[in-house]
Amino acid sequence: MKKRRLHLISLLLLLPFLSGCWDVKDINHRALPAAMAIDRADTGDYIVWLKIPKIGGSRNSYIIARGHHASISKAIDLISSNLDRTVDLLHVKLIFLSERLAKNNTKEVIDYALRTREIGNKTKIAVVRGDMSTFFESSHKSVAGSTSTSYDNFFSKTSGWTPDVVRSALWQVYRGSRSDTEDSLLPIVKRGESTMLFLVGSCLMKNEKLVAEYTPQESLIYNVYKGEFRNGIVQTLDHGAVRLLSADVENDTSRKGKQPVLHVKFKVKVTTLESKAGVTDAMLIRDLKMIFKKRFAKLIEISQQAHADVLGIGQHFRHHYSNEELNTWKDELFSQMETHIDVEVTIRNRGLLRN
Amino acid sequence: MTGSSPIHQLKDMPDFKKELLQIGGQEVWLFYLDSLVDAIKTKQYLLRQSELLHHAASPLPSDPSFLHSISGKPVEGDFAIPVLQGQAILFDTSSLQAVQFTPLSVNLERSIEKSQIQSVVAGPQTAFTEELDTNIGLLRKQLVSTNLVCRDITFGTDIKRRASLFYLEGSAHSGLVEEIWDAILKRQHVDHLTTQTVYKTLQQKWWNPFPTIFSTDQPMEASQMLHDGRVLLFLDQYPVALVVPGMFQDTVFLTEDRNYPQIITYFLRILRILALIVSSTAPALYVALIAVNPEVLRIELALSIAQSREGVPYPAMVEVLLMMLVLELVREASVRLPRSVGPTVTMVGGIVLGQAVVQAQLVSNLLIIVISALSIANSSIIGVQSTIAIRIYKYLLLVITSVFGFVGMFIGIVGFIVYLSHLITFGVPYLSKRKEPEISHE
Repeated sequence: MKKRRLHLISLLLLLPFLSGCWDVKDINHRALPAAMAIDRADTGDYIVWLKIPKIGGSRNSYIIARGHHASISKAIDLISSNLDRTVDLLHVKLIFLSERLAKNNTKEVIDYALRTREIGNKTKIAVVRGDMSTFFESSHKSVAGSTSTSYDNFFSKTSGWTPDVVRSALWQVYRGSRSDTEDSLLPIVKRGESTMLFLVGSCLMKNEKLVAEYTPQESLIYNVYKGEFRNGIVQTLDHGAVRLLSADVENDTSRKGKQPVLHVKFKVKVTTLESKAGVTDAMLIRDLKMIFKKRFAKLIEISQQAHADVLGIGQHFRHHYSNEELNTWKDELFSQMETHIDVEVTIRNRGLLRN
Repeated sequence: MTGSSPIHQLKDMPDFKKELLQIGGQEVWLFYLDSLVDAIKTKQYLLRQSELLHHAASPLPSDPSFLHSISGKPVEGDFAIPVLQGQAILFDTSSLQAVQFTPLSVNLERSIEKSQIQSVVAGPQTAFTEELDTNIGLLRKQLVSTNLVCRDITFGTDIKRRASLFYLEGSAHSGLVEEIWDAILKRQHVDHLTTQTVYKTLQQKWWNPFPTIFSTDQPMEASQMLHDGRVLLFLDQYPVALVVPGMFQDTVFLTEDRNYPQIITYFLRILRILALIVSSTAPALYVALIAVNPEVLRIELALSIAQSREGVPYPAMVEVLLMMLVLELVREASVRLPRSVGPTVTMVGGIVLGQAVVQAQLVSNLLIIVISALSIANSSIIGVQSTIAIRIYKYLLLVITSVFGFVGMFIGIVGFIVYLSHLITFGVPYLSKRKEPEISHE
């Protein structure tokens, strides 16, 4: 009995060796890329760029490494074999996909990124318009103080982000590709001339393919609808500009026979920033209402034409339809949807002016 | 001199003295230990007492009136032990009768000083000394109460050691007191040379570094403990009161805190809890962040850490162990060394730890910060024993974290809590809550 216990204890003591700390690598033996860009060559091979901040160098220095192979992981492995340290994708904050790749098919890339487990699920994804091979060079002499790690700040609510920019994480894109009732929206950027990136708008992804586009103004309404907006939004009109303080969205769904009907009500609270001479509050409110209605209707129209429910409206209809019917949501039901838009605007204050 | 003397055990001791005295016209032997008894003053005192009684018919040492005047009492049989305890014996050869009395003794005690172990900021500055009676006196002075109950006991067969058990009637649970008293009685005949054997008597397990017997050298702390319903054991020649049972909160809660307004009390306690967390997890956290789970760092931080580790040849685990070993050695050395040499160790340690090691690129800058935070935090935990226990625990946590990363660290912390919760002394769980004394706000 005692011998058995001894055996048991020695077995337990051996347990730690099973897990293995032999593959533990110190942080200074890892190359930590901050961003990754992927393009597809004409041959069908993947081209992968990694932007790796230089350790010990000045704040703005970095290495751009390029790998070329039929598979993404091998391409990264090839980069790794040319460096003195292992490439470790743990800190990748952004994955840039070329527009060509996005139009073709992104399934392999998204699946790879989720499978490797090295890349965090919160990693942001963006689509790049223009030549990929020169894309990373752009931010070379970019905004003062920007480092190669600042891509994260471009999408971070605590720094450079504005509600014109759509933020999409890896897990959201993956969800969009698998869900019956939701698609994903990715931001489109291009190489900035003097700034880090230049925002083009956002693109609708359907079945992992780029199918349509929104402008930045439309993206803003998208963000408001999704509840992703921050105080500090400037909305320009013919008569002035306001800042959004809060926005509530009420979705009311019903069905008419087989046709889905959506009632959306925006409750917006704003503060006046600028107004032209002789403009009254009523005029501002009327303008704002019109803008919201028009732009939201445009959003719906574009996505209905593209059969891509990026707004996730189908989620609100789940209880109206059976699972079989929901299978056809994106392709049939959504495009038949009838939309009523209502906007309620409250001007909370007018700054420090009296009128 | 009588041959069949019961004092034959003492014969060979160089400080054992026997002298012939004339008391009341009678020849009497006086036995004592020179090292404990002030001989000249004692003899003067004896003669003065006999002269005072001279008008009576020549008093014998066993005469009740003489006995009364020197407050002595007759001894039967072996009187070696009273002699060893510092008593003097008068032996009347004619009647073969022995009388024991308390002589004037040589002063072998230190005076009451400030605490050398725990420093006091707000509160009484006195500390217990080696002498048992002094300690009891200090406690009685601090805690003026008729409910204070004392039980005396002498430990050992060969080596005698006095001890006193204290508790506060009404505060202490009677079952607890009896249980402790039984445990003490059961091991009364064990020689207690050091306190380790006493710890065993009081159910401190040998493999457990955490103080299930809390010790304090401050009368205020001791009286507060009594008030909480705990039992105190004083040992002769040990300047510290043993508090049974010790509890985990003793490592962060100090009675002295209660000499400030309550908000300060809470602040200090929260600070110490933080110190406890930092001192046990800092090295493990370092290894986890550097080697196993660097993904939780922000990239800017990751880069700057990587930069500071650039060129360091060892893996993080070895690096940490190296520095912790140096730190432990510095701590140990500064305790061992005489005070005049102590600052040298501190200075050399400081320079070696802080400057040279980094310049030689043996360890990273960040590790120096971690190590100093660790040692500072460790020092703000109450009680030397708790400090050492946490020091031991942090190594275990370090090992498990370096293998399993953050998961391992949480397993280690959970294991630590499980371990602490299974410690029970005299039926009192180590993690139980100590009863705070009633405070009236009127």
